[in-house]
Amino acid sequence: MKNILITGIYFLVSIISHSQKNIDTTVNLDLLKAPTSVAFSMLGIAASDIERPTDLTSFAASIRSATNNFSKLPTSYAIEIAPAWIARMDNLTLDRYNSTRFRDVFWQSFNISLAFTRQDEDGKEETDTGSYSKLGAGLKFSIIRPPWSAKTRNLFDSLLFYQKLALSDFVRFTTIMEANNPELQSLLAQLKAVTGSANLTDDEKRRLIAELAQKINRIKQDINSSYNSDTARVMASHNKLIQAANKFKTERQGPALDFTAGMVTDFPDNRFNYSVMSKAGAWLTGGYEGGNEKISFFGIIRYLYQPDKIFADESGALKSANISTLDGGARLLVKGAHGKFIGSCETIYRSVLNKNTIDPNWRLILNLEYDVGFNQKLTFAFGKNFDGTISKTGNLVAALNFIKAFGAQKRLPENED
Amino acid sequence: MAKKTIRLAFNEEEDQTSFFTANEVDGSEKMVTLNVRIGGPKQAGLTEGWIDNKRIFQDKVGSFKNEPIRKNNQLNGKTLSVYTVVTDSIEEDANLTEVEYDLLGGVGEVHITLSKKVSQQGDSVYYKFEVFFFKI
Repeated sequence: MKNILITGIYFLVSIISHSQKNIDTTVNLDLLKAPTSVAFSMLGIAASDIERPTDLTSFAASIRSATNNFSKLPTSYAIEIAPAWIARMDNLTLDRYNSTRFRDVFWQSFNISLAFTRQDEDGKEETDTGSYSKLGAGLKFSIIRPPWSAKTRNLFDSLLFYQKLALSDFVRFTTIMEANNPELQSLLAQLKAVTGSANLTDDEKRRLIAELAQKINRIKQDINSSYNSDTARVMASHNKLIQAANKFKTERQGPALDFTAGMVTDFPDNRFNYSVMSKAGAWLTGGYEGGNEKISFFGIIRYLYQPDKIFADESGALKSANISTLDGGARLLVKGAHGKFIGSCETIYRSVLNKNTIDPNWRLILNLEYDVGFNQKLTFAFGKNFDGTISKTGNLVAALNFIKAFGAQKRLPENED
Repeated sequence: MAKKTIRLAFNEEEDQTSFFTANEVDGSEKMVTLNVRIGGPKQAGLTEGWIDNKRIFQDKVGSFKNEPIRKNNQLNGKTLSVYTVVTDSIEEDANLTEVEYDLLGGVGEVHITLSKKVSQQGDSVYYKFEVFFFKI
């Protein structure tokens, strides 16, 4: 027994100590993701400085403010707009966001970002004579969008149910409020009388009808305004509708494909007829979201021209001037056993396209995890690093001995070396 | 569209949730139709329509076009009442709800955009659009 125990410990220590280099979890597929606002990210503009008008009025107000009431060009300005929102397209209501038709998906997701700033040679914002102008532009849209999950559809149906109740109450109560307004009823009676009168000329009829309609309109506006500000607030249907609206959350399940692109143009002499493209990038992101207990897949291809940092060049030896890079990766996620088991496989490829100095390389990581309860997990990770070395970490081997050979619960350290 | 869009850009909007007007019709068989557009983004809308005391359509979700009302020669002395509830989205920051009504097919046309800002996310606004039809 003693020999078996010593042998078990020897194998345990040798396998664990035979674990090679650690897998660097800071380098992962998320680093390749397209920025949320491409133009601003490329120019280094903070998110809080960006104007995001959602309708034409606020868009006009933003332009007016930036140009000091249209009297001068701005020294720095950043704006992000969704053209469909500004143009008030008719496919923007909540029910249409479940659509998978390309026309709906494209216009609902199409987003343009524009930024103008003056920077010095170090990329810091500056307005003195030594600075030069930079213009950033970006766009993004979805090509394929997954539909709502069953949970979201149920939440929408609930919202619709309470809208019907609230609308029914609105119709009933405003009808009663109007019926109980003697001035309004009198004007409505006059309107009917004028319409059917044989003693008035056509022009007199039209004039009187228009006048009466204006008076009726004012009273009805007051009644409706009163309903919105007071009566509705005490209606159970209205309050249930607010609750249903606050519970609504979008979750999607199915395939997805998005495209993002951006570029930065410099104006070294601050003249419009001389410009140089200093940076550009394009991202194609796709995947399949399976939700819980299902398989999810996520992949990215990224092209960058003159990036700030070359992903494939860890040592920073290469200058980014005239450099194009192509990077990509994929992640597969499998969940099972009611969320207790999670398995993932991630691969990353990186390359420099127009220089032979750095060879393309790739990395592959397999992660397995199982929750055994009592706040403990079995873990196993296997990977091939970018430099070709193999890595293996996790407590699975130790756990195999732990479960049967030692016969007592022991807290397992995570990711032992 | 461009002219209307430009005008709307510099319009100082005030809250208005109701509109009543009179619209002339003739004795023809031409159908009067209704378009309803609900904005802004991700807001949920539901509409129903009445002619006097009779409901002519209901459960219209979101925006819709070319909803038939009645023929010109059937509308003299009648009132169309269109009721819409718009629920603000909690997933977007914009709190301005609006509904655009277009009534087409009569002797004249009616175009109106009603709007109101909600004070809290997820709140709802009730809109009413009414047209009294008359024939000279």
